[in-house]
Order: sequence, then structure tokens, then C-alpha cells
Amino acid sequence: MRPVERFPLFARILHWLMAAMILTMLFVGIAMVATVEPAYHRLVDLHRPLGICILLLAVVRLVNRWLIRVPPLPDTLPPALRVAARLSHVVLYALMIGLPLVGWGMLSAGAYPVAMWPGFALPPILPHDPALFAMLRHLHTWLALALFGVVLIHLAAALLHGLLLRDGVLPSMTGGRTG
Amino acid sequence: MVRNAADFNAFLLASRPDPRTHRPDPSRMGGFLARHPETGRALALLKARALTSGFANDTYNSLDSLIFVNAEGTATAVRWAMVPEEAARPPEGPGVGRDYLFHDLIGALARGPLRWHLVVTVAGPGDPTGDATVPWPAGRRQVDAGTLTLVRAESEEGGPCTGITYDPLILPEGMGPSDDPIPAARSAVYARSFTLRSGEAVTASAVTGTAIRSGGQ
Repeated sequence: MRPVERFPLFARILHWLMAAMILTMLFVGIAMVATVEPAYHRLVDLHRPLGICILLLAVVRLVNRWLIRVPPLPDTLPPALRVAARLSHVVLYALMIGLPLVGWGMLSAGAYPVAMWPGFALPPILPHDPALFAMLRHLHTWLALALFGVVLIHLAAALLHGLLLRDGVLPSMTGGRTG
Repeated sequence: MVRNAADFNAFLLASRPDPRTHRPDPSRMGGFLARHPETGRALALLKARALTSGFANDTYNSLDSLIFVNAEGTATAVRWAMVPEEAARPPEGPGVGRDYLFHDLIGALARGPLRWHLVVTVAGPGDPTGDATVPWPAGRRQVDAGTLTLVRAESEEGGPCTGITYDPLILPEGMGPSDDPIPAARSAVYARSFTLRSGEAVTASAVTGTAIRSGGQ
């Protein structure tokens, strides 16, 4: 069977939709912890449902990833970069699922309502425990900074493939012409 | 006392004790009050307010305004107060011990329940909702929206109020923030302090469960 050159359309749509959502989310998160102005509660009100949306889409995406045939990495790629590529994707998936779960768990442990929109809140997933809240609140920040870092590495790697190596990796996700 | 978070920050800096005199520097405070006459007027109102003998007969005024939305979607700006059923009495001199206000409250609850009414004041046309330093004119429509009945006191240790932050923007359906910037500032700052506080080692409670069971004696 000839290897596929590109990700299927559904996988590409998920990728670019979530890329926009995650970038928005990272900057909403940074902005909301940096302000005490009235924008604060509007940003927090956006942060919670957007985070849950990312969690749901990340689960759909993980299942989809198992079902589809993924374009192989080019044979010209050195083994060290091959390992880095695989590892960074594992970390990206872990953070896309772990970061919203830590946020949900943290609000649960702090006895905050996990409000999605007026009149609807998700149930708590952890018992009320202030010490656990404090730990998860810090963990949420550290994981978010880690996601910032991995997104930057991902972006740098995409540009490396697209501009310097000029292999088929970037077109496999943009849907452009390969080779 | 102030209109927004930036003014509150300037107020705190102006009222910071001088390291030599351990008192606020009058020139700095004077400068702040000259730039913020609204704070001077609010402090004068605060000073003119009659003190009561304890928690049981004291009134809590929200100062900040909220928007209430009815089933038809009509939004109304309100301020609210918790008004005690007990008549206000002036303080009878300083009480005994550091925690006498708490012990008096525990003693009063041992004698019977205490009630407060949630009194909602509806804004008139042109009443400022975005400036907590300005009182609304007297005679605005007031609605008795409910009664809070306290039947017993509980200690912080192991009590249901432990480990909760009273975020002024966690509101039931039908209530929302107004253009008053103070509740959003409090919400943001409380989230930060709640994280720091929750991460600290638990210290002994000033008012213990044993003190409460003995009826505040």
C-alpha cells in the first residue's frame, strides 16, 4: 500500500480549528491573570467553555488519529528529530487533554461553580479540598507555560520543514502541493 | 471608598505607614484626597456612620451595584443591604478580650435565631451604577427580597465556610455585574489570594468549635 501524503480533510480541519482555539486560549489565559479590570470576568467566562470545547475536540481528534492513516515522516529525517517529532506530539496531545482536565478539577477542588454559560455548570470532578485546589491552580499555570513552549517548538519545526528542509511535512497538514 | 482598582492601588500607596513614624504620611494622603475628592466624601460618610454594639444588630451595605434581570429580560440596576431585625444599639464601651464580637454573636445565637432581611434598592434614573463612592438619593424604591436566618454558629475549623472564596461575581441566574469596576477587581484579587491562602499550612482557628459549644463564654 502506497503511504498517504497528506492528512485527511477532517484531521486537517480539526488541526487548524484547534490551533486557533489553543492560541486564543493561551492569550486569554495570560491576559486574564494579568488584569484586575472589568475585562477579567469576561475573559474568565470565555476561558472555561473554550477550555471544555478544546477538551472535547482533543478527544475526538485522538480517536480520529487512531482511525486514520498518518503520512510517514520523510526518510531523510535524522533519528534524533524523528524521536523529537514523536515525543512533541505525545506531549501536545497530553496537554490538550490534561490542561482542561486540571482546570476543571482545580475549580471543583476550590468549590467554584464550573460555569459554562448562564444557567449551566458542569458537575465537580474532584472533592472540595483547598490544598488540592492550590496545588492544581499552580499546576494549571505550569502546564499552560509548558504548552506555550511546545506550541512554539511545534511552530518552529513546521517552519523548519516548510522553509529549510522543504520536505512533505508542512504540505501534509496545509493541504498544499507536496514535493 | 474609591472608584476603581487603579485608584485603590494609589490609595494604598498613599496610606502606607511611613517607616519612621509608623503612621501614614499626611502630605501623601492629602495629595491623594486632593486628586480624589470622591474618596474624601466617601470617608466622611463612613466616619458619620453610627457604630453598633456587635454583629447581631449591624447592617451590611453592598455599595457596589448589580444588574438584576427578570423573566421577561428587563434589566434593573440595584444595590443591596442585609438589614438586621435587631434594633441597632450603640457600643457599650470596649468589650472583653480580642474576640468579644464573635463571642457576643455566639451568645446571642445560643439565646435564639437572628434574622436579616435582604433589602434591594432599585436605582432611579441617572443614579450612578459605576461609582461605589456616590450614595443614591434617599427614597428610592426598596424591596424586601428575602430573610436570612442564623440558627447557630460554626467554627472555621471543619466548618462549611472553610476553603471557599466569596467571589462577588459568582452570582445566581438573573443577577450579573454592572458597569461598577470594583467587583471584577475583587474577583480577580480574591482568586489570587485564595490560591495563596489554600496552599499555606492550616493554622489554629481563633474561634474554636469548643468555644462555640460553650455558648461564647
